[in-house]
Amino acid sequence: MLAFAFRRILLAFVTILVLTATIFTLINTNQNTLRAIAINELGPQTPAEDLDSWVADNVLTKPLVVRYGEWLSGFAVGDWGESAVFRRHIFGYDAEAGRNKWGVINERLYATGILAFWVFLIMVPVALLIGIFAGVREGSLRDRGLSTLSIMTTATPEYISGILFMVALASRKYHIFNHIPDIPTWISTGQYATLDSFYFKAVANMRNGISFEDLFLPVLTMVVYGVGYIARMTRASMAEVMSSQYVRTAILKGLPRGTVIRRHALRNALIAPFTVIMLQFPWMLTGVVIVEVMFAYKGFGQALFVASTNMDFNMIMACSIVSVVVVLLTQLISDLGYVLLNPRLRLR
Amino acid sequence: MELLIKALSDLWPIWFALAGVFIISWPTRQYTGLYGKLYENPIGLIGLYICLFWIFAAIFAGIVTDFDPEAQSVALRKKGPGAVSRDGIIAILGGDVAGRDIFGRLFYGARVVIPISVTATALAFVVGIVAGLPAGYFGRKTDAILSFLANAILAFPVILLFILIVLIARDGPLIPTLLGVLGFAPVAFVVVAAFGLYGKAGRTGLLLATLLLPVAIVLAWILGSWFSLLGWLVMAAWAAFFISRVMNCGDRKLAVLTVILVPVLGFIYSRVAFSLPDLGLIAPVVAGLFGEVGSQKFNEIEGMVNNLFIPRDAALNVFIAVCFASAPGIFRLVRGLTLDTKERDYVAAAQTRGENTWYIMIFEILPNVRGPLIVDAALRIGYTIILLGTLGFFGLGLEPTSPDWGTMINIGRGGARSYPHMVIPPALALMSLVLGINMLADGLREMSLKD
Repeated sequence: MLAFAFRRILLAFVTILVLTATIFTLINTNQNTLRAIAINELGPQTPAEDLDSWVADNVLTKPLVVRYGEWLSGFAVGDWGESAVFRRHIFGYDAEAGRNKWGVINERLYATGILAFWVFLIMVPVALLIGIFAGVREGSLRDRGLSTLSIMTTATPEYISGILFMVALASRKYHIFNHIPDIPTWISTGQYATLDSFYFKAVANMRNGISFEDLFLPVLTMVVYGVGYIARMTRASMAEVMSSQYVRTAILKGLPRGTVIRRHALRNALIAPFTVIMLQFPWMLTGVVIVEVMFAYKGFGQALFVASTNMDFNMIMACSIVSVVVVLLTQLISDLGYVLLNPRLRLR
Repeated sequence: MELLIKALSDLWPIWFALAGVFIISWPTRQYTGLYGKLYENPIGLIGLYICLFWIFAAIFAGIVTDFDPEAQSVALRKKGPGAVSRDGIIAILGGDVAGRDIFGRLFYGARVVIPISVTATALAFVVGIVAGLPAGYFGRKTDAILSFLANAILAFPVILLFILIVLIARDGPLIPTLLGVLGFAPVAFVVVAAFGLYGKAGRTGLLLATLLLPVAIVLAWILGSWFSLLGWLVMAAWAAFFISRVMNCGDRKLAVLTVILVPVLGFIYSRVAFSLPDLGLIAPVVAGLFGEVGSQKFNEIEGMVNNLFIPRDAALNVFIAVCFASAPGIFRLVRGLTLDTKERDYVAAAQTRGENTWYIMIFEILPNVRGPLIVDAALRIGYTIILLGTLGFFGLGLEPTSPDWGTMINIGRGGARSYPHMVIPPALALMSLVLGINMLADGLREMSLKD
């Protein structure tokens, strides 16, 4: 077990080295990207010759391998450089910095962490419940309905559900309650008062920390796309367990159905979804970029997008490493967890 | 309401085509195998017809719509459903920010989205199969190296991969290189299949034959201008070699297929990846052989063929990005299935018979794992469409004038709250197509479980 984990961690380090070297080479050998980096320093109106000479003087001073080595050694000790777009240090706490003592990555990861926390807190229980309810009786009407629902949510990526929610919940003119006049009067007395309490801003404010308003639409959007997949996996796993020998034995033994499901079926049925849930993290990184760009939520994904469209070299490298580490870490946890949860594998 | 009727009646070619398919398929459903069985599964059937709807929409886009998808008209700018253009034509779903007819762009969008997603998924599958079969079958170092590569690519979140390929490597050498590597997979597949089929004939000849094509392509790269003749010579030698083998081989159908497939795929590959053979270079030869008239005819043909298999830049970037992103997943699937299958009795039997390793992989293992592969292919096309939409949403990849759904959503999303008619149609279109594909995949899975 320990040897396995150790080997995986070693492999992860090799992967990170290979990937960063690839990105580093890609950016540093392409004339256009180098010019784009120079534009960040010299401004958009600079002629191409000046850009090229800046690149020759400031970037292409040493061989590629040496520069990569320098960047890597700096990175390893926490010196992730300055961001050209955000105009501040990228990582760590800097007591001498002005208003923002924490680096861009720290701040953005905190905001995205809160978003992800709420997404998982809502998505996982809902998905598991849907999956369990559907899988307990395979082929029933309830199963058909819930399965169709989960297929529908997996067919609705964030940029579609986000747009639909934006129109339905954040538009004064086309707000969903404008078209269903009965519901607001039914909920409270005044139509406009209710509309306001169901009216969400499509652009996150985030001035005074992260509020419910900022989180509502992004979380909702991400939950909708993520629920279906986990629910389907849970359903498949649950259905398989329910048709197994030991569950049949438990039922024939005369145990109440609830006890059979809770004590006998659920434990084994939840092993497979665990892996799926852990592997949702890499998927979430894509979703986070979409949702944060769409709702102007100032998190990691938005920083990644802004950095790469403006060719902010240090920021791109930092974001790449953070996302690769997240992916590798979740893969590791999911593999280890799978072994720990499954008694048959634990003995080996 | 009137608009709805007009929309439905405008779509008449699609309805006719769907009805035609149904009328032909329903009575013959017992004879059409897997496809026929879909007619017993309501969810799969609905999915199938949603997919067919969009395929016919792509085919008949020119007939269905009243407007040119890229033509801009001030009268339609930001106008809602039912807006009337200056020529008095009704734009059923209104116009977008630039005054283009949304209804028409929706159907032209299918024409952009479906071919890219299907071909990219197909190529990704061939890549996954070509790498996954040996990784699973040989294990050890082959597996270790290929798996490391696949896991490294998978360690990138898709969005980062897209940004790297489309934004950073846009004009660099990465895209042509990737195209060269990924595009070689189909050629390699056919070559290896041929290799397997004729495996018993002795190793030297086969090694030679297998190496000939890559060598020809490398030569093409170095020599450039002389390849047109040289390439065809090599292809001819290749064909002759196989025809001579076909004579002593039992499985003629497959053999002939390989003889045709290898040169054709090789030609397409060298054309797509290296823009070679350059037909213009044969022109003097033709002129010398057939005189002035022959040369003129040749020029006409050249004009027609010149754009054949030469991909557009923007579409190519998107294509490569999507293909590159989904190939490792398919690799893992094929590898796992191969690991499972290689212990079976029929594989052991083939090994005992002394069959060629490649023959066992492609003609024993691959056909027996086709069930899960077909289901996964369907799901993956759906996922590819979502990825294409993601690219469009970020404004990466295709030109801003392109009528694909992701780009439409991106253009309209700024004003989505005031003009929802600009974003909701493409959103629903994308959603319905992906939903259809997922339902089709679900139906296929249920059927494969029944067997």
